[in-house]
Amino acid sequence: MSRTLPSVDMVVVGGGWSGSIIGKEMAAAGNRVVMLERGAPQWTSPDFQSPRIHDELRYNTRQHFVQNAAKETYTFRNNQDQTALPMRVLRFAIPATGLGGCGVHWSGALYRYDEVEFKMRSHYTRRYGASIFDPEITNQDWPLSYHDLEPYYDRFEKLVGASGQAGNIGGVLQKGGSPFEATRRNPYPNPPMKVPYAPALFGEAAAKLGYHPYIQPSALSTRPYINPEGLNMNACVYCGFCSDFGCEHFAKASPQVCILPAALKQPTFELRTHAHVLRVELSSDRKTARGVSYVDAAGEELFQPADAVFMCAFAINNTRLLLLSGIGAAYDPATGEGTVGRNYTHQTTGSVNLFFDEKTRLNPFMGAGAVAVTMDDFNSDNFDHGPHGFVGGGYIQIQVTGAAPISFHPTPKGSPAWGSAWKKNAATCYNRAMPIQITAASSAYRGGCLSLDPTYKDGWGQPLLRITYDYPENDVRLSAFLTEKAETIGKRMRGVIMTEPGAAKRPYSTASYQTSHLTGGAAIGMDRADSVVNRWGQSRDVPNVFVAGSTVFPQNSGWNPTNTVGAMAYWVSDAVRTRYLRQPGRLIPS
Amino acid sequence: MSHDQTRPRRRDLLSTLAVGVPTVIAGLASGSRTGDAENIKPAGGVEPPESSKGREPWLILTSDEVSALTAVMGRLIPSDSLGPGASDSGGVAFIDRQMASAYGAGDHFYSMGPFAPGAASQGYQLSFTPSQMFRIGLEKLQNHIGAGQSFADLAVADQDDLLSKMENGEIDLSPVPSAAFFGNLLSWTQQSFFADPMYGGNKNKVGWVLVGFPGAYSSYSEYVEDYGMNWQYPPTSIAEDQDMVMPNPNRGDAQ
Repeated sequence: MSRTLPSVDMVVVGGGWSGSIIGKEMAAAGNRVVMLERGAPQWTSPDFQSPRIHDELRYNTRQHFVQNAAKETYTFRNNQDQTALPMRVLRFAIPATGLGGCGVHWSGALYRYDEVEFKMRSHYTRRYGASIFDPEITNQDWPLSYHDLEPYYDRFEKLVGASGQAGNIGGVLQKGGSPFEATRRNPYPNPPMKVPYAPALFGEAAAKLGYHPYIQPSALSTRPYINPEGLNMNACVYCGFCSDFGCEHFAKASPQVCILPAALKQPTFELRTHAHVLRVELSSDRKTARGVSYVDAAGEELFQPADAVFMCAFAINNTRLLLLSGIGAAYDPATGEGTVGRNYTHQTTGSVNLFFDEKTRLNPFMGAGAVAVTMDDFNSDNFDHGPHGFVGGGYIQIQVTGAAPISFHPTPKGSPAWGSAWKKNAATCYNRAMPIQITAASSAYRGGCLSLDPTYKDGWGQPLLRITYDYPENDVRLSAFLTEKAETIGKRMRGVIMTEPGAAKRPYSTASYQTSHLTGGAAIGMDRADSVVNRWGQSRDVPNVFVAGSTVFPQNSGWNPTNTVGAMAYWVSDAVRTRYLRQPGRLIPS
Repeated sequence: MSHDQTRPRRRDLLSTLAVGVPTVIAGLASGSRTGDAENIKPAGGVEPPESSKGREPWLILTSDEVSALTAVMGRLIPSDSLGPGASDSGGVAFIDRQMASAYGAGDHFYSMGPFAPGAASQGYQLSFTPSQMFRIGLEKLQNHIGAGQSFADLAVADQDDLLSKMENGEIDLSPVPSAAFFGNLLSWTQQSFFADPMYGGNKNKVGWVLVGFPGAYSSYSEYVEDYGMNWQYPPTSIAEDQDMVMPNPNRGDAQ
C-alpha cells in the first residue's frame, strides 16, 4: 500500500536537460513543482573534480553515470520473428542515471536541425516525388516548423553558453560558418572552439575538394560566460576527459552548471533524488493523470498527486513510462494500429579509420567532447538525392574527444589482437590514427518500434522496454554513400597512408556502442493517427501529461539531438504557461 | 626532470620501427603475433615486480589462478624490447581487485532468466558474472591442459598456440565458450595495462609510456593548436598527482 504525499501542481519525472528547464520555468511561473530524479544528487564540485574525474576505467569503461543494467535494461531483437533478449550489459548507448542526466556525460555537440528536417515527408515528396520513400518508411512532418522553434533554439544556446560560428544570420551568409545552415536571429554567444591537429587536416582536405567545413558548434564555453540565469561558465581547457566524464571546469554545459541552481532558488521548486517513478496514475476514466507513483531510496512506494505530469526521463524511457501507465494505444507493427512505440529510430553511423605516416604526431589526447571540424554538404537535403534513392543525410567530421587508451588504442583491422605484434602496433598507431566519423539520419520504418517485453522484468517487477530494430535499407544506402565520401576526403588528407572504411551494415547490433541518440516512440505529429503528442508535447490521450525529449522526434535527423531537445523543453514550457494553464486539462488547440 | 627516460626512447622506437618491416604503414608489425617471443625479458633487465611472483595479499585469486593469469597475461601483452607487459606491471593484481569488486560480482549485470544463446546482434547472453567467468574459465583451462602441468609450465609457443585456439573458439572449456573467455581475458588485460595505476596494473605507467598517453593532465589549452608538437612530459596519474601542476613551457620544463 503506497503512502500518499501532499499534492503539488506539477511533477517532473527526471532531472536532465528537459526536466531542469521545464521544472525551473514552471516554478518561476509560481507553480509548486516536484522533480523526481531516479539517481543520486551530483554536482560539479565536489563530484566531478580533478584528479579523481580523470579516471577512464570508472567513467568510461565501467560507465559510472549510466543506467545500471542490473536494475533496468532493454530487451532487443532485430525483427518480429526473433525473441527479444535482455541487454545483460549495456553497450549500444549510455542512458544516464543521476542528477543532470545525460547532460553530465555528453559531448556537447550542439546542432540545430534545418527547415527540411521538420518537413521530412512533404519536402522530399515535393522535390523528388513520393517514390523517393521506400514503402516501409514511415517518416513524417513535424507539426511545427524550424521557424517556430528558432527563438527556442536561441534561448537554449544562450543557456548553455554555446560556442560556434554562425553560418546564416537573418539570411546573410557568415564567413567561417556553414552556408547550409538555416537562418538564425543571433550569433552564438561565444566564439568557436580551438581546433586540434586531426580536425584541421580534415578541414584542409575537405575545403580542397570544394566542400564547406566549419568548426562544430558546441555547448562547451570558450571563454568566461554568464548565462541568462546568472550562472557562470569557464573556458574549456581541452583536457580530453569530456565525453563519458563530468566536466570539472564548469566549461561543458550541464543542468548542474546552467540551470539547476536557478531552479533550486525558486521557493516553489523541490528536488527529490533516488526517486524511481513506476507509473503515472490515471483517473478511472483514464483521461486524467492524478500524479505519479515512485519508490524512494528506502524502498517505500509513494504516491505524489499532481495536476500535471511532465515526462522528462531519458529519451525512450518516457515511451516506456507511457506504456507502463496505459496512456494511449500501444503500436502494433502487424496492423499499423496504435501509436505508442511507433517510429522508434536511432542514429545511422559510419566511420573511416585513418592511419598517418611516421612524421605525423596527432596528439589525440588534446581534445574536448564536441571539438570537431565538420561539414553538412551531404546532410539533410543539401545535395541532390535523386540519383541515390534514399532520404536523409549526415555530417562527416573529425572530432577529438580525448584519447584515454583503454578505449583508444587503434590498430589496423585484421592485425593481431595480442602479443608483441599487437603491442608494437598499439605503440606505433596511438599518435598516428584517427577516425573520420559519420552521424546520419535514421528513418522510421514500419517494423522499428518499442513495446513492453512479455518476459523480462526490471528490479521493481515491471516489464522492460523491448526494442525491435534493424537498419532500413534506406539507411544502409545512406551510410554507404556517406562513408564513400568520407573516405575520399580521408585519402586527400596530408599524411594519410591507409584508410579503413566502415559503413553501417545489417544486422544492427547492440553488442557495441552505436550512439546514445535514441529517438522516437512517442512521435509528435499532426493527428491521432500518426502521433502520441500534439505540437505542444501534450499527450493526445491524457491532456495533463506532457512528454519531452527525443522520444517525441518522429524520426532522427543527421544531427545530434540535444539542441532540439533543449529548444523543445522551452517550447513546451511556453505553451503550458501561456496556453494550457488558462484551461488546464484540455487539449491545447493547434 | 626525468622525462629523458621516456620520450627519447619512444622517438628511437619509432625510427627503429620505421625500417625493415615491409608493411603498408612504416613501423607496423604484421603477421605472427609472437614475432618478439624471444624478447620476454623486460627492457633494461628490470626484475619483474613482486606482483608477478604471487606474493600480493590476494583478495580473491588462488595461487594456481595467480600463476595461470600471470602466464596468460604475460603472453597477451608480453614484456619485450618495448618494455614491461601486463603481468610485469601489476596486471594480475588489477584482475584480483576487479574480480573482488562489485563490478566483478555483477552489480551492473542483468542476471534474470530465462537465458538463451540469441543472435550475435543481441550481445552477451551468458549467465556468468565477470568474476564467475574468470574463475570457471581458469578452472576449465587447467582441466583442458590436464593433470601434471599448468599453463605456466607450457613452452611459450605452446602457450600462444593454446591462446590462439581459445581466441578462435576452438577448444572446449564448457560451460564457458572459450572465445568469450578469451575476449574477457584480453579486455581485462588491456584494462589493467591502460587504467590508472591506482587500480593495481599499469605500474610506473608503463602502458601510458608505451603509447605516449600523458595521463591525468587537466589542460591542453596552450598546446592544442600547436600542431605536431612533441609532448615530452612524463605521464601523471591520479594517485600520485593530487597536487598536480601543469608543466609551463615558459619555464622551460620541457627541456
